[in-house]
Amino acid sequence: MHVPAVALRIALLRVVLLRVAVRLAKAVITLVGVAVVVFIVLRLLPGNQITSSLGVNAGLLTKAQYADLEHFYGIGKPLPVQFGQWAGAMLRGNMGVSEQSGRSVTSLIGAALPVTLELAIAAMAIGLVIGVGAGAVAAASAGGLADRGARLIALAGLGVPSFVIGSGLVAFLASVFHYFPSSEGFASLFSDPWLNIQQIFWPALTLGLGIGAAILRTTRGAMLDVARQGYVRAARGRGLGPRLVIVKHVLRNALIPILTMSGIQFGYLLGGTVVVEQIFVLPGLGRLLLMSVTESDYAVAQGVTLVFALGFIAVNLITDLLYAVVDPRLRS
Amino acid sequence: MAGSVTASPPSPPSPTSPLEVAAGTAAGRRGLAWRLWRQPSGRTGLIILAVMVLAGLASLAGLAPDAPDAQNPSATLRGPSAAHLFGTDQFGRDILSRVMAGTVLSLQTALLAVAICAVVGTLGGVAAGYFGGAVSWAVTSVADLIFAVPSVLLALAIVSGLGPGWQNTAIAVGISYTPIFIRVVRGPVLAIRQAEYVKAARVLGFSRSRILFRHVLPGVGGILAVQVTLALGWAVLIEASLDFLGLGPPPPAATLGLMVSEGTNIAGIAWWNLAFPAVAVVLLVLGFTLTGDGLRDALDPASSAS
Repeated sequence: MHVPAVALRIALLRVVLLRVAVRLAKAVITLVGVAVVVFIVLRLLPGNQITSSLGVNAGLLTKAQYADLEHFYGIGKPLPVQFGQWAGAMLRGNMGVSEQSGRSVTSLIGAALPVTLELAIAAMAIGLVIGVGAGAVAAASAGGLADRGARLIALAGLGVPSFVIGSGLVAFLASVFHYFPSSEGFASLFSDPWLNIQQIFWPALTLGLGIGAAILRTTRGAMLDVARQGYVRAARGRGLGPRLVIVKHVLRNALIPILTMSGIQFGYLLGGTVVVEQIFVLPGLGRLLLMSVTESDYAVAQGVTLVFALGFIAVNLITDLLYAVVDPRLRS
Repeated sequence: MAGSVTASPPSPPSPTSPLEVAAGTAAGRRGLAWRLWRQPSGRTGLIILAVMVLAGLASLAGLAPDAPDAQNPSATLRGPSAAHLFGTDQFGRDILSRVMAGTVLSLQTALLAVAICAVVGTLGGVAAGYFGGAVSWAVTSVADLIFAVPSVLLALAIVSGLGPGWQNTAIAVGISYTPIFIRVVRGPVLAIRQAEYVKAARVLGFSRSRILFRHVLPGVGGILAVQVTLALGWAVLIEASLDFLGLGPPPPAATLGLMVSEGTNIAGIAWWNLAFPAVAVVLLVLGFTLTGDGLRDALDPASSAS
């Protein structure tokens, strides 16, 4: 009796581990694919490191000088060789050097990543609190006043782009509180937590409102779907109070669509950081990307795009694995 | 049912979902427009879009109060008045005229972008769903790769490579939205492929292109209509965001995103510089989103119940 149960457990564990391994392998393949595409696209674009650093003066170079510079930037060789060198260097943590600032890409990203990470986590937290909270209230009072209000606000949140919310907030803060985002340098969470929270809150709210609107709609829809199920009626029939039923049975089972939507919203969040970091002058990855892209600083643009892709792929992976935790049916 | 197999242009028989009914027949389409109008969200969306499109057409017809880039140094930063309904900016340009011109730019960019992603994505999705095998693998792999980069970032990277210009913005937005069309179309095509009327068409020896365009494609018409509408709203949003970041057409151009960006700096002394272009962007996005939502509910009554 006891032994087969253990054997079953081990077999189950093996299946789960295999699925995790397959999913991990897929994520790695996607990342390599993205790296190849990013590499090729940036090479196909008109101009290269030489023309971007010298501008029109690049035309004055002699053939020998040009070849020297090609060798210096490692761009004279055939594309596959270049990719091999680049990928090898990447794996050793060497992402190249910024042509504009002369600093290593790794150090630039290292400085910008914590800002974006903090912003993304704060925005996601705000979005989840607003979305799940208001969504649950709306579903509980479906058709009522709270429901209609929540749906109207959600609609506005979906229709108003983050750059409009951000611009409105900046204008509002400037005219009412005479607060300008650029007035002080950025303070990290560890050097000056209070100032840091002030600086992160408004951009996080800007992004969080959009996310919250989408999660609200999903939460409401999923909860109403679940509420029609037989086991919910059964729980009510057993005499459980409405609040307990909503939290323990309805919300818990509505978590899967909410999880999916949160994963999707994370991609939107990463794109949104570019806009919001620009508006609120935050020295994060989004701003770094925008600057590198407008200055054709290839090495930096490549590195930041890959970090964004890595983050996005990782979140998709985590979302997939979380399904197994939330939904016992997927574990079998 | 049996009779329709021998009839050469079969109206989709054995409809399995209300979606196919609505998309397939003329009567269904008439009913669809009516159902869309009866949806509160559909009606609101259609009215908003009608207003914005009319404003754009008026601008194209030269009916705007002023040329969008006509400067007037003696009337800078004037508030809304009878002479300038939306006020003037720091160069004395009439903001109403600029918002109207910006609406035209937004709409034409969105239309071109969605034309690109709808055509490429639908062909890719139909091919992947209908042929399966290597074609399906190739198409879905490319779609997954594009999908692995957040779409705003992708559009940003492409547009910065192509250079400024509304056509380039449209191409960038179109490419980044293509995978969504592939995904949305591929699933239903997989199902339609196995439908009796498609099998019958194959047995009757119809050419492959005839089966694809006359039999398979109409089956995804409803889904496509919803997706196109939602994509238009998304395209307006991304296009305006790119313009806002300074990656769209350069400054003299009247783009809504650029106007919001410039208006933010002087909003404290001249709020109308920020407010009117911002409202225009919001109305465009909301108009398409609401219409798309309404269309989805009109096509699938079950989803509106939730």
